[in-house]
Amino acid sequence: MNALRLAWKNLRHRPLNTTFNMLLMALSGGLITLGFLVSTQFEDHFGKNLGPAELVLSAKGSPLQSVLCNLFHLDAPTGNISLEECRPFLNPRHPVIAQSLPLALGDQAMGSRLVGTTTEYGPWYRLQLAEGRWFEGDFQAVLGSDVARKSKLRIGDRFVSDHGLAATDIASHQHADDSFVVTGILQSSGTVSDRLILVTISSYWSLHHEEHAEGGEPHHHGPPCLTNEDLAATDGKITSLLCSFRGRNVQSLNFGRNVNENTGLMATSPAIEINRLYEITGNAASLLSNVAFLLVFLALLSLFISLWQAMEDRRYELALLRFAGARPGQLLRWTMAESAMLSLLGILSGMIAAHLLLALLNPSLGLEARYGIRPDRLFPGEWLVPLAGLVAGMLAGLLPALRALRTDIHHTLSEG
Amino acid sequence: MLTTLNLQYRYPDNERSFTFPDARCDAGASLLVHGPSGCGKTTWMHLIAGLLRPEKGEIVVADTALHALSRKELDAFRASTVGLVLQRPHFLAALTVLENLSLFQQLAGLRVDKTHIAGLLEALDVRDKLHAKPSSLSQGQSQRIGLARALVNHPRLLLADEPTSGLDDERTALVAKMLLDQAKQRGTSLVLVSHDARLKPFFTNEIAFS
Repeated sequence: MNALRLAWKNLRHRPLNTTFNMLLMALSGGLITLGFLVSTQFEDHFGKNLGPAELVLSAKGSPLQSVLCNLFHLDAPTGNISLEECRPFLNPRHPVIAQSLPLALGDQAMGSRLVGTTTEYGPWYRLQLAEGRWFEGDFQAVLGSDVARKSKLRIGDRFVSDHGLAATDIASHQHADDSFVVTGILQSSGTVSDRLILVTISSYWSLHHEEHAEGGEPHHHGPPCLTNEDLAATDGKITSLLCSFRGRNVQSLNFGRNVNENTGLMATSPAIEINRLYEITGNAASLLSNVAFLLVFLALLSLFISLWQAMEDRRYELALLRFAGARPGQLLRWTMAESAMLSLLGILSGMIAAHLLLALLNPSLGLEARYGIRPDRLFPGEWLVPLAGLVAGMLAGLLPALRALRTDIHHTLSEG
Repeated sequence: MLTTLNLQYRYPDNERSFTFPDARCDAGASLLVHGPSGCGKTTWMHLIAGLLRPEKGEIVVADTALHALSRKELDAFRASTVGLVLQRPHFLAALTVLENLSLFQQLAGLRVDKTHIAGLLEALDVRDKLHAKPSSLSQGQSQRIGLARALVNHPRLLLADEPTSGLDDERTALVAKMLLDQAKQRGTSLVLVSHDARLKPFFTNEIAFS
């Protein structure tokens, strides 16, 4: 009978008490795990998807919405902007802007967002093709790795797109006339690009041919726009232009404000908007972790109290064990093993529950797809959680154990 | 087997002190220590078991002078040499009878011997309780198993503290015979401490405390 087996038997002997304490430990350990899992991966996700963009030019609206939509593909576009307004910023010799990436958004195919862009997209996000080639004309598509995996489409396969961002969108209808052919599949990058379908902006214009015709607007008849230069040479509407600066200087600092004041465009700094977002989520995360730490305290207190009570109940047992030759150190180990085991098991089951909960919520909330939160990942330092549980459990057991040792064998046995 | 000489004990927390008459019990013999409640019988027994240290006097158990032993040596000595029968035996509630007895073997530094444990329970007519939890035992059964536990490490001295209090005449006789029989069969000395006058007919050696 070693310390662990005896601890296990003692725990099983009081199933209600053990279950309650384990639930409390599991709840606190689970909440801590959940909080860290979500917040670390959430911030990691946003950090990774920022790319080189230092300024987002889009239609006027909510700055945060513009950043969420154009960089993270989470929200709806703020509206359209005309190429005429953007043309100066597409010029490679612009004094402030080093590079730019035009985007046309708003449609989807097979549940993934369809992104109209140029061949600049690959170098901008440092993406490599796993197979095939980049689009060389309209209605050619490059699939993100996740899209390819889920749709099982191969090079040369065809698919049609839906108008609108949600399949259930009332305004959505299939662009049945025009189908895309897959020309390339991207290597996985762990960013939002894995879940996008990249096409030319001129394909986008062709898709919206009917609406343009009805609305009296011109639609695209010219050659496909593959590069930024092609785009600069034509007219039409896009959703946004992502820009990087030549350097950090007074000009670049004031550039956004100048655009906002002097043009019909909205210039948004992703860094500022993301920090604002972190402030909001950070408050929620710190509230969650405060509640979690309060729960940890309560769980340890409950563990301490029930062990204290158990030691009272086991006074005779302990006195007998001492009579039978058990050394004080042995009894100390046994008692601490009991609380450490309970705490560790509770914390571990809570951690497993946290991961399972994320896995369960993942499909309906789109945790992985939208926020890059993977249930099967450990957060950095997650192994410290069970270790802390073990140590805290041992400490919670220390005082009851010391009290058990102070019990006078003679007095206890004399009482009958 | 057991010799005490000029034994005195004083409680550390109050003025109460006891002076005990000299006692002697040969190997394999039995001794009844008799006296009214509160005369220090249990204290005396715990002195013999090495749980308490005397203020004065000498105790020699199984050729070992207890005052010469350290705390740790006393713990080991007690585990291997002395068996204790209590008025109400207490067991580790989470363990079965077999596990309780095995643990006592283990604590004395002996190998766990399940055959020996089963044999002891057989001799005391409670073999079927080998895998029972202590909470399921009747009073009589737990007393027998308490005795089995006291005997499990082949002690040379068996100490019994008020084993018959609260029992009727018939049960008192049964318990007394059981203790004497087992001690005799196993060549163990038996020292029984009690205020119960009904036990006197069963013992030839007796010391009265007052």
